[in-house]
Amino acid sequence: MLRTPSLSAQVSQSILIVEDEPALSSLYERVLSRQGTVRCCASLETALEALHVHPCEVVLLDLGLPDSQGLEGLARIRRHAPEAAVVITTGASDENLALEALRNGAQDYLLKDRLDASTLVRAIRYALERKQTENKLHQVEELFLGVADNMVDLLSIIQTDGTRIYTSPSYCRLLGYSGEELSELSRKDLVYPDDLPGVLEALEGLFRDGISRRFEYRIRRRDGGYVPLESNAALILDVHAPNPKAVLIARDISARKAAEAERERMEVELRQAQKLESIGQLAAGIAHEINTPIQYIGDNTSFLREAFEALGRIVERHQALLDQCQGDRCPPEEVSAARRVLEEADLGYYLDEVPKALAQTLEGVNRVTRIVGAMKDFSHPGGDAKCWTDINRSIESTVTVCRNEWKYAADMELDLSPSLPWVPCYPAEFNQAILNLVINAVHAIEANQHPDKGIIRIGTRQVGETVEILVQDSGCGIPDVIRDRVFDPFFTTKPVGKGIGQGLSIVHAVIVDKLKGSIHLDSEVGKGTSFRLCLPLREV
Amino acid sequence: MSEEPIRRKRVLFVDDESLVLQGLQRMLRGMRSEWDMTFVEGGPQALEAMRKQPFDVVVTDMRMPGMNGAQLLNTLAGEFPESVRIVLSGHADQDLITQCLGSAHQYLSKPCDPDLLKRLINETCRLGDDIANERVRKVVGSIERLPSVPATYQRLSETLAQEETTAADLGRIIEQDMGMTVKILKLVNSAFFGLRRELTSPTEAVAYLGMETVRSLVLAKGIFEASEPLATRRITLDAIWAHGLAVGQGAKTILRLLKASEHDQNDALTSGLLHDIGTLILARHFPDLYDKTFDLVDSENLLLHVAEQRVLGVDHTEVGAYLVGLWGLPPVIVESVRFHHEPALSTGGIHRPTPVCAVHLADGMLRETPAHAAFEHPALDPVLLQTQWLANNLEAIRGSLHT
Repeated sequence: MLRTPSLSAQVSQSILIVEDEPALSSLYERVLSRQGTVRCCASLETALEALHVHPCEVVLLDLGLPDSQGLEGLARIRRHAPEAAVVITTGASDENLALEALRNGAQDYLLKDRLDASTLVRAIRYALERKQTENKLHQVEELFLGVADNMVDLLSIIQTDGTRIYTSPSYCRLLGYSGEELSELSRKDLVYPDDLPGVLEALEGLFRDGISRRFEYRIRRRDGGYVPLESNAALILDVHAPNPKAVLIARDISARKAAEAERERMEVELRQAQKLESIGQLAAGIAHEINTPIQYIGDNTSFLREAFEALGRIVERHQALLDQCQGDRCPPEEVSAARRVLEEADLGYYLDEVPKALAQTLEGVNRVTRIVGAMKDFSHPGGDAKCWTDINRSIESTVTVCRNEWKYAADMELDLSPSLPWVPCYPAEFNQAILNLVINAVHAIEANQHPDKGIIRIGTRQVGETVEILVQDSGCGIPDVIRDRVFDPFFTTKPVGKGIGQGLSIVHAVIVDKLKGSIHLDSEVGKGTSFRLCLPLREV
Repeated sequence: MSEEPIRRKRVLFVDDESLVLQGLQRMLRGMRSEWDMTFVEGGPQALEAMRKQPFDVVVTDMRMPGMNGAQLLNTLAGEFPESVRIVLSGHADQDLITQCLGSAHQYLSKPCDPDLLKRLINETCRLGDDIANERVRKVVGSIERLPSVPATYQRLSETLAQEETTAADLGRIIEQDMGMTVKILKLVNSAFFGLRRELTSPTEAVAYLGMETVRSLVLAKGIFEASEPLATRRITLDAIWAHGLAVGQGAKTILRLLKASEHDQNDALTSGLLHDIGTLILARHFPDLYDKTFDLVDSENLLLHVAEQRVLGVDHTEVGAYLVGLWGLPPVIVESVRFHHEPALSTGGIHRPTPVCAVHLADGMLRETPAHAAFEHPALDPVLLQTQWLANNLEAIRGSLHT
């Protein structure tokens, strides 16, 4: 606890006179008695004792005492009564000693041979005021150091050139340097190189406009590792100071960073899980979409082989007939054999069906080709880089890839603007977002439990500097009460096992966070839902 | 064309994809003298066609809008139990499969080999031809599961509830019960699980399906069922169970003595367990007639299968073989069930130690044991007893079976 000193010199003071010459001592006493309570001691030892018993505000100390000569007396008085002002009395010949005493903490000195009453009183009063100011400063300093030394956060005061005027001991505790080591390290040595430009920019800005800044950077520990810090920097407002200074309070945010990283990792994992889930689901659907045409390609091909064999037999028989014919005379038994083969061969059926079988086989091959192409587009093997993307084609591929998911529940209507410009986009993630919206639409339509198929419409158009993608369904709609939460991770209304609540959260992450676009949700319970995605055409 | 010797089989194909139907129609054009085929594009149309004039075989896609394959088959199983119901689907959606575990007899996946499809339809039709009694055919066609011995069912449920259960634990329990064995083999041998070879061992089946699938099939989907006591007064489920188990183990022992392959030994075990599954079916579904059958056995001193033929028009080997055939179990099991009285008629014949021969021998040699008295023990095939592979080992086999 700090004692608040009396601020007024007018209040009665306790003054201790230490003087071995009785005449002087009583003289001082007389002069000073109106200033306060005066006690007199003739030796240092008695003075120390008196101070011990009863503290005082001012000590008038002779430097030539029987038991103490010179500055030693001052030192001992100050040790015993650090809060007392000390005024030295000394002979003229000792003025150098007196000056030395001032440097050692005395407030003033008086030369005995030039002493008069008013000088004495004034000296005592001024000394007292000076000491009180000093005490106040000292207390503030103690307060500051007490805070700074014990704070867990990191405190530093810097100048415009970056030199640190003060660093709190917590720096050493956190980073492992000794005080000297730390003082020799520059900002460049300490701040993680990649973070340095940001730090410099923030501090330059602070010194320029005086507006406090908050910034993060990593700082190097003695063992070479880095600690992430979040720093608040503010200008120290002091009109008198010639050089502006800034105070930085930084905080170790390792734990927060670790938690953030953990959350991010979990989100990535969840997204991966959702992706895998949708891939697994898609794989089954794609298998169905491919196996169906393969089935009829196989059946038709097997039929065509049979047909070709039958036609071969007919040709063979007729070839034999031609071989037997001479001029226009043909052996009747060969003619009837040829006719019989024709009759038995089901020729009419083959002539009708073979062209259809061929056409349908090719149609099947086209279907498989289309699906496989769409799969390639959908997974976008071009990497994760942002690139100019044909949104229409992305949508078509995605819709093709997941056809098996929606075709039993809904009809799909695409209304894609043919003049749509390409958009800077992450295609694979955009496709995932569209897929999630389509799957959600299917689930919403299924939730209606209506015997008829629903409808899903996907449209694109350009509106000024954005491209709009509209995904509408005729599903069950989203009730008002949950509309704010549908984009939250883990939020789901689907039964356990039917989704992990990541679908729309991924849509949000892709469209809003990554592509800096926006999502507008419009829904009416029982009527359907539409999601309007707006993507900026210019990089933000 | 000559007049039809027998009625052409009526086969109905259902698929929402018209191109698939057209492809099938062309591919199966060559079968038109044997089959009367109709192709429809959805469940409701299929039902309508069936109600107008029933089909012997229905081959349906699974995923269709409106009414899916499972819904169609479940309806058909109720209305037309004697129809043979085959799934031909583009991909294995386990959710959908489990919805028609009881009503679908066999599962094929697209793309399906044309010859396999033709063979399957023909075989299942032929199986039914053996069953002269329409009522029996209906009953067998509608069987979703066979009863399990309650104690075994109880033990399986308890074992499934334990965390540290292994496939081998479950397999050991299942392979003691006819109902469970036949059901799990039906499942695992269906094309839905994409298996490339036939499995005859319940342990392998559990390992293949995975613990979680088995757990959900048993606990959630109820593919097994603990039996009520049988209504017949002449035979108990426990007796049928004990007899199957003894013949299975005996058949396996015989093949082990003869140094047959491990695979054949396991086939013999399962085949032996299931060989009298027809008895179980008849006792369970025709208790009154079965009592009459036993009365006839006693009063006229008939062989059981002769009495069965007289009372029911079919015998237990035919009925059993119809079920395991309809359910797509491996041929070795179908043949063991069908020919355990007459192994010489089986595909493998009697000139080498096949699982069918082993089942025949074990069944015949157990006649001395009182516990098996209720069962018909075939007279051992005299030609078989003379075969070289058996004659030299006969005494050793007898010895090991009677200890």
